[in-house]
Amino acid sequence: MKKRELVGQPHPQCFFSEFPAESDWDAVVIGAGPNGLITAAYLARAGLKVAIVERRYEIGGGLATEEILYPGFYSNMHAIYHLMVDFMPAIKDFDMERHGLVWIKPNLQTAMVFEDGGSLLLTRMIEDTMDSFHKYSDKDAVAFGKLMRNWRRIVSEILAPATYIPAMAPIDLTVAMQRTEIGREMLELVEQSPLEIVNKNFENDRIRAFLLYISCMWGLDPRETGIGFYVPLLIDRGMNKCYLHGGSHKLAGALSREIVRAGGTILESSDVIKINRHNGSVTGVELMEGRTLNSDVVISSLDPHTTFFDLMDKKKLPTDLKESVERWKYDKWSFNTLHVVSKEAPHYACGDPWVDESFMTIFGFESTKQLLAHWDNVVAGKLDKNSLGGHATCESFLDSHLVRKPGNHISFFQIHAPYNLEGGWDKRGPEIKEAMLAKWEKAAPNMKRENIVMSTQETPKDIEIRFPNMRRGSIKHGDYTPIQMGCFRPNEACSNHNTPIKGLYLCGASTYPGGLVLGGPGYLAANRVAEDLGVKKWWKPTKEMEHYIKTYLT
Amino acid sequence: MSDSLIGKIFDEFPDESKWDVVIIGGGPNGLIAGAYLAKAGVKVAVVERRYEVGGGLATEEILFPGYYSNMHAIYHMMVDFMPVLQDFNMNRHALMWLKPNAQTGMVFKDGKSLLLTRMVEDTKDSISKLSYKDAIAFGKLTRKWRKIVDEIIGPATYIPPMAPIEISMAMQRTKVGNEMLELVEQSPLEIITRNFENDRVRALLLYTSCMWGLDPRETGIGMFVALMLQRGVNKCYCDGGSHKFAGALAREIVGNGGTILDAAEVAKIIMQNGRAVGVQLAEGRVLRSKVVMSTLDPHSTFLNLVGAKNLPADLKESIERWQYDKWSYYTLHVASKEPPKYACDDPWVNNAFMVIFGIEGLEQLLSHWDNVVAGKISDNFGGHATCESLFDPHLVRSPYGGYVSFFQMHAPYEIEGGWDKKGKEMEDAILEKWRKAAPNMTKNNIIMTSHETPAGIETRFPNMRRGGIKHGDYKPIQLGCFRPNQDCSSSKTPIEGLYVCGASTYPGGMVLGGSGYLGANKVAEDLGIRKWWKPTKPMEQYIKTYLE
Repeated sequence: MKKRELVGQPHPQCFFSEFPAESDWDAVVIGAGPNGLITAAYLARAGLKVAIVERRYEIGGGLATEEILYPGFYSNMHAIYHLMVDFMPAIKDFDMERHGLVWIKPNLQTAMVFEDGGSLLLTRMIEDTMDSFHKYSDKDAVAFGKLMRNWRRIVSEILAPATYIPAMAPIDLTVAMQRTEIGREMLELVEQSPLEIVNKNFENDRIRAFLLYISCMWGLDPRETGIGFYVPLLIDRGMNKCYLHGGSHKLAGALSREIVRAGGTILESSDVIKINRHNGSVTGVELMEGRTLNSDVVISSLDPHTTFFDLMDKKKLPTDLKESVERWKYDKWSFNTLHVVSKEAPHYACGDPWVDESFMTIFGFESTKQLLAHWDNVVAGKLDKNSLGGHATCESFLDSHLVRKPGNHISFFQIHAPYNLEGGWDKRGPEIKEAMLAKWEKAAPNMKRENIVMSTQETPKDIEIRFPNMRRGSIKHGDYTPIQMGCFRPNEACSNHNTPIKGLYLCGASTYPGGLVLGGPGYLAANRVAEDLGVKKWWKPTKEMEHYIKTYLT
Repeated sequence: MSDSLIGKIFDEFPDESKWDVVIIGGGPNGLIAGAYLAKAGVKVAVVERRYEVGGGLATEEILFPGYYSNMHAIYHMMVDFMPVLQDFNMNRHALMWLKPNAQTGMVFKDGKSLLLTRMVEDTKDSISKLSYKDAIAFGKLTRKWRKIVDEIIGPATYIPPMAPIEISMAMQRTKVGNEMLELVEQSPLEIITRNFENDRVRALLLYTSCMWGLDPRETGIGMFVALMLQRGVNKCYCDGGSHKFAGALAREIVGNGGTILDAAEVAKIIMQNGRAVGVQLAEGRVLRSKVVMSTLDPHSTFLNLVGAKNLPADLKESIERWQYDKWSYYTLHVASKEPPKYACDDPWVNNAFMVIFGIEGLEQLLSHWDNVVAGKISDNFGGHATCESLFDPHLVRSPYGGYVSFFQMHAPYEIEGGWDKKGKEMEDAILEKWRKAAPNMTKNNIIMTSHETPAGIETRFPNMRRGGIKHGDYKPIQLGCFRPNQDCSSSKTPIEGLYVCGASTYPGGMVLGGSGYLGANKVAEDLGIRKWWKPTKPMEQYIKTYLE
């Protein structure tokens, strides 16, 4: 992005361009997605003079509710399943209720339907899930109940609170976890692959496929070891997904208002084109308009390439850092999402009427084999029209606000999809869309042509166009692999949110603990900046975090 | 879905809460009213139905993905006068308005063109290509009209309305005032044809005068010709998109302790003993307040939210008589590789903020408008186009680059065959017409398109009823102290506790920011709140000259 030039107008007049060409700040945050907003909200309330700079016309990043089904229907374009609402410190530290925020946690969380009318259901209550598993395997139902009792503790006592505590080196983590029985249990899981964990504990193939999908849907490699603890996390949190009433964007709005209330400044429609440095230290940022925001602290929520290579002079980076950014791997797959307005809500052809009310419904997969083959295809840049599958949500079922033409429903169907699709998205997009509609109709026979009022699709390429920091359509700004997780996210030098460049901090999804509206990187970066600047923190760790610190870190 | 199956978290916004003022609708007027009152220390809640505040101040990624468009209010005509811009520190939000010199171009089939510019001399140069006499007349009239607008109509926009008889008396005090009174009784068509001889010059000036919804043949609204022509050459563009203005206003509200509830729909205005005492939201919450201010159209406010049975008979009748805009708009948004390059004799036209084409003369223009009013669009249509990204590089986000533009035309709300069908047909007809005016707008140049029909406008903004962007027609009996009726035009309504401050209230729509400002003034006076703001200098001068 270049500095702008005014049009070739002989005598243009400008008004109110008095926002100074140079201004001084305590901290400048680049990017107003969930993490940028959280960092800025904490720091603004701590009394720092904060500016948060957003490229789009509207803050929110992935917290985007938009009228993409135009006109009259609002869709949650990205972050709709909020998995960590129960643990996110930001929700406790700020008075979210004054913004009228309400999260809904449906009991019917995730369903899976099969061609023969069979179905499975994962619910908020373990017992209801067990009831559903009983249809296929008593043994698996019992196994699930047993496992979840332990896994729930692993999540609520270890993984979830640790999300908001700085990353530890693997060896420190191992030592700490030895202290408790559930800690040791978690360690055992680490060295197993998701596929091993699921296969070892469950016998029925459909149940295996169901749990594997839920474990890996956000980007774990089912066959990779070293990430096994994510299985309990994603299954437990997958049973606790929340929906933000009124649309995800409402959380962004509330956070932005917390910033403003605390005296912070939000600049929208402002592109950062350069992070300024002097003698190796950060001195501020430069905007496309030519304005400079001076600040000894710059906090970037962007992906590593954008932060280090696009906004700074790559040649002047420390070699280690440069190499580690070059090695950075973006998500192994992106998503293709089909948004649809229909007269009737999808009605799935299955024996369990509850499935229609589920927050998420998986279909298209009949076995683990098919599921694995689909993922292998995707990773290889392919999509097989016949064997694709994915998950769908009928949003208007949870939130009538989204429908402005009463009597209709909005839903979406999302599949894992390669960024570089064989044949190209421009060419094959329409064909994939048709295949998805056909697949949906097969699972929910009423989703036929006559029922569909309009539809639109967001491809991996489109994601990148809309949010360039979701490079290659990576909603998490980088793959979840052992060498890109924990204290290696985005690398050992930066995972504690400061960087080898003095004054530069990271707070985006590519930094520990990662993406998916955890709000972790934003919270941790605010903590780090507050500590480095010697600013008194007005907030305290949550109860769960305190307990974790006491048990494992002191 | 049964509630027992759903766990709710953080539902702590109280089921019943108390406020001083609740404002319905977070469009420009609602936000302005909210900002003034919040800064005055009033406990304010602004309730917005959409997922995002702004109303017509909407910048959206309608050309999906990668191109942003200003969906409604793009031409900000009153930036020079709006009190809100002086009363609030808009600098800190980095708001910037651009006022291009090349304001409105008009191109004709034979390659001739006209250009209205911010600087009178440049416009005269352009008009003298077609008529020397008209160029001189334009210069003379502009000097006269500029005074009428700067000294009277501009400042009066932010001062409560007066009855016609009082205005007449007040205006007698000065020469400018008398000149304005002379204008009032002439129709736009009369004013234009009387003062100009060239048919193309006439067409351009009539289009500019009436494009926002004046009837060219109606008398009693003549002063709007001076206003529209003056402000029509002072249009400003809000850099980064119109929505940035909404964001700034919203932050002024929040920064001063006000509350904004988005994605919250008001289901009813709560009445108690004939008084408005609060609102109830669709999800059931109740916001009780001393004052309810509505920015919605009269039908939504009075018939839907208050309820016909709670209205005095007079008020009910006047609401039922209310007429929505005589025409709505059809807008085609386009992303193209190159900006439109008009085939005409003046290169400046390609840099103009607005370019009119498709209209060759006065007769065609009038018959096009007659058609629209009769619910038709025939081949003789024309309209105006703007290439937004010429002024604002922020709007183009696609790595493929390019430009965003739109073409907008007057269009009936109800059309033969229905808009669902006609919407797509119009796209082709418009592109063909556009190509004739700007030959580079070929299929090959166009990356994508999206259109908004009058029905689409209403779906997106139900208070723009029948696609009426001004919430009601501009005609003598719906303007000034009659907007929306004599009882309500000073913001206060016959229903105690209920105020109106949207585009259907004096002074009207088009991002004037007048209704919101006047609504805040009235509520502050009625609640006995000290105003922290003062009238602008032009307003003070007007008050001194005409009202004291």
